[in-house]
Amino acid sequence: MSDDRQPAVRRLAVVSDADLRTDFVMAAYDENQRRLTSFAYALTRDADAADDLVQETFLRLVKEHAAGREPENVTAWLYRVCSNLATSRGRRGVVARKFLERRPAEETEVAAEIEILRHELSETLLAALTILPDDQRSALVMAAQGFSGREIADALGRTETSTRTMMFRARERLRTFLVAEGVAR
Amino acid sequence: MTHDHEAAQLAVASLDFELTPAERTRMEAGLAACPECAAIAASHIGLQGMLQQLPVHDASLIVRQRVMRAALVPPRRSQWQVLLVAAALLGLMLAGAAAVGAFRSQPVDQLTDVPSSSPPALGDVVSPEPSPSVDPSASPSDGGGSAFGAPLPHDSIAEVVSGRLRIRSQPRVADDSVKYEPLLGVGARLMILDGPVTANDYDWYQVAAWDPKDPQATFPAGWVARGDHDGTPWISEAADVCPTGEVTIADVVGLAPAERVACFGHRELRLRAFVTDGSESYACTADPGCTNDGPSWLTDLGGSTAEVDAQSAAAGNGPILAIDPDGAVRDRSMPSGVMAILDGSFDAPAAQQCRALAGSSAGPTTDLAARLQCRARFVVRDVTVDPAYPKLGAAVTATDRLRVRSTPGLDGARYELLAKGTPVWVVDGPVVADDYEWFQVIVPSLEVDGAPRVGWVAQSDHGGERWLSGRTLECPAPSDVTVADLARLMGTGESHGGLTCFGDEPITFKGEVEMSCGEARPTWLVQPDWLGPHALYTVAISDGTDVVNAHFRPELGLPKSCGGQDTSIHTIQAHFDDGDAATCEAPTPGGTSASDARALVGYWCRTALVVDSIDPMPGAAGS
Repeated sequence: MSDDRQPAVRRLAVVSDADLRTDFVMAAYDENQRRLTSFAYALTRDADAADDLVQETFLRLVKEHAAGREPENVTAWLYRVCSNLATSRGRRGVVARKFLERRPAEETEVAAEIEILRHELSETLLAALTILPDDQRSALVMAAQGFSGREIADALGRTETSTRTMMFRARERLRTFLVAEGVAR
Repeated sequence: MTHDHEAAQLAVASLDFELTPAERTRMEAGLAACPECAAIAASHIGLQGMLQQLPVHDASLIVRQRVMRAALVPPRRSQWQVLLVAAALLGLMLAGAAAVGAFRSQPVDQLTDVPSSSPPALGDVVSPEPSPSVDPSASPSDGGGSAFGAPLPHDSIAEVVSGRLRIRSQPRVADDSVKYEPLLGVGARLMILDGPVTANDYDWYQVAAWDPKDPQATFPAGWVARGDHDGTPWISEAADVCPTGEVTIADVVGLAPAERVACFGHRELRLRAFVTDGSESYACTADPGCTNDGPSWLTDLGGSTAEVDAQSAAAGNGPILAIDPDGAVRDRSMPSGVMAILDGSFDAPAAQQCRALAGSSAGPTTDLAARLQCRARFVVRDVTVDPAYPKLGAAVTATDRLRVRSTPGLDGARYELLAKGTPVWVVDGPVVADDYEWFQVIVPSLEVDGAPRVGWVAQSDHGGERWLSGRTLECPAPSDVTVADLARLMGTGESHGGLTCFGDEPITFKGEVEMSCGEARPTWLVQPDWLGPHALYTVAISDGTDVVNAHFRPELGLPKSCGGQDTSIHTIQAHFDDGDAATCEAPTPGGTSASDARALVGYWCRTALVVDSIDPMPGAAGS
């Protein structure tokens, strides 16, 4: 039914809260969806799963706003929720395992099709990230996206000191692994 | 890296954090003095550069649409707010109409833009089915935009919000669009399979329907209109259907089959679930209720389901399992009657090959609805069963001090604390309660009111440490058993040893025979009385040192008397787990639960040694 057929009074029923909420949520969406989806993809290595996580994260933001709870730092809040969702759904392990199982076959196909070196590197890095515990992986991906240590600590709900220690361990563990794999020096 | 590499650590920290001036000084001095630190730091900087090359992804457009839609729909208003809105609506639209009742009774075409020249068939739609009414609890803003806002997405779950909704065979009001029965009531749920198709000024959706309030009711697949011409919805998206957080088998069992598809799609799931014994699977086409044609591994009937535990398996609400032909599982390796970790997913791509079986007697369906049934199978790619997991009818021991309780769960009355190594017999389970998996066990070494203790124990702690483990018994060959062996295996601490070793296999042994009499007025009156624990007449078989009691069927013709020892050596054939044990029963003495009584009586009858024949040894001296 087109708008001109819509009874005028129906418009009265639209509460302005909805407009405010839509503005708020969609502004947060447009500002964060790309890096959050990239983040979710780095955690899950599965585009559908990343979509699911991002959608669920923003639906929770809708609920928060509707309940009158607007996060103080929306970006940090989004990352925290997304990271928690990824952990609690246990997707990471499954997807990582799936990747490791199929990796040899993929590599053969990839070699035959001449993939871009950068793509291979990304895939290798993403696979390597799966050796890290959830929090460490989230922290390194956020750091790669340009978040400061303080922002990462905020998003993960940790202190700066413990985040600093955790991130050092994560970086060192990843580096050692990649050196052993011949990917890094 | 060692503590000596503080400079490297500080350099790495500086990638993400502000260093204090003192730290910065130490870092710079350290890097200058320690070439290895500098190399490590450079390696980390290189790694950071690599991480910055991680791929960039945008969410699908549909995600944006869904988020926007969710943001647009205001939270449910309180009743008085709804009434105010309804009153405003009425006042403006129906100046002159006195009351809501009048609104309800108006023909729908007076409230909408349906032209008066609408085809006579329209009356068929406006009343009585779908039979719209103004429901004050339904938020008018469920619509908006093009009457109802964005189209209902395919594979989403909708709910009937206005009662008596009609399913039709075609997306239109016409003679060739068959009106199906039964009508859908408020709260019935729908999986959106196709649509919208606009016809007769309605938006039609193809749906598969079910009623959560009446799970037995079945509805033909077909088309329903989304709502009235004035924007009053008859169906709207169902909220909060899908579980959040880690998906458990309890979450899955709590959802209707279509909801599992809608919530999880083809996502990889790892479920710890009780795999039912299941029935042997058979070709779908061999069943009159079959509606599907497609890959046999997705359409065959029977087979196992995944359930929360053995108790809930009786309801059979869990997803039907299919075995991925390309997975690691084979038909024969599919476990049954145990807890297993199942790796798999719903919505197998091969389900797209499923079609409605022409001429099915199960009622009308559509290809999409038939496909949905295939999609709702949980396709198992891999399965893991802990070989040490307790099995029913198995002898196990407590690996630690273990509390026996009256019922499964921490609310159960606390019975004894078993010492480490206590033999128990597993009767029933697992039952999941309070996040533990419980088994009903019999503890032969604990006697309570003349019977072994029956109770429930948890099989492991939350970390997976086992509290029960399988017990290995020293079992002689069935043809080479001695009375001493049987006395050892049937001792009071573990009267199920013979059953554990031999099952129902015949055994042969030698001994002296004496008729024996039981209690005249036992507490438990087990039927059949010759097999029960207090059978009036049994045979005591002795090797001169050890003695075991055996039961015998009346038709064996042994003299029923007490005493009468035959000191000559006889060859005895006997067995455990007699076929009649399956039907053993007894009136339950006061204070014993039916569950405990069933467990005890079954235990007594199955562990009884039953004589098949007693023959004198050739050349043996008679008494």
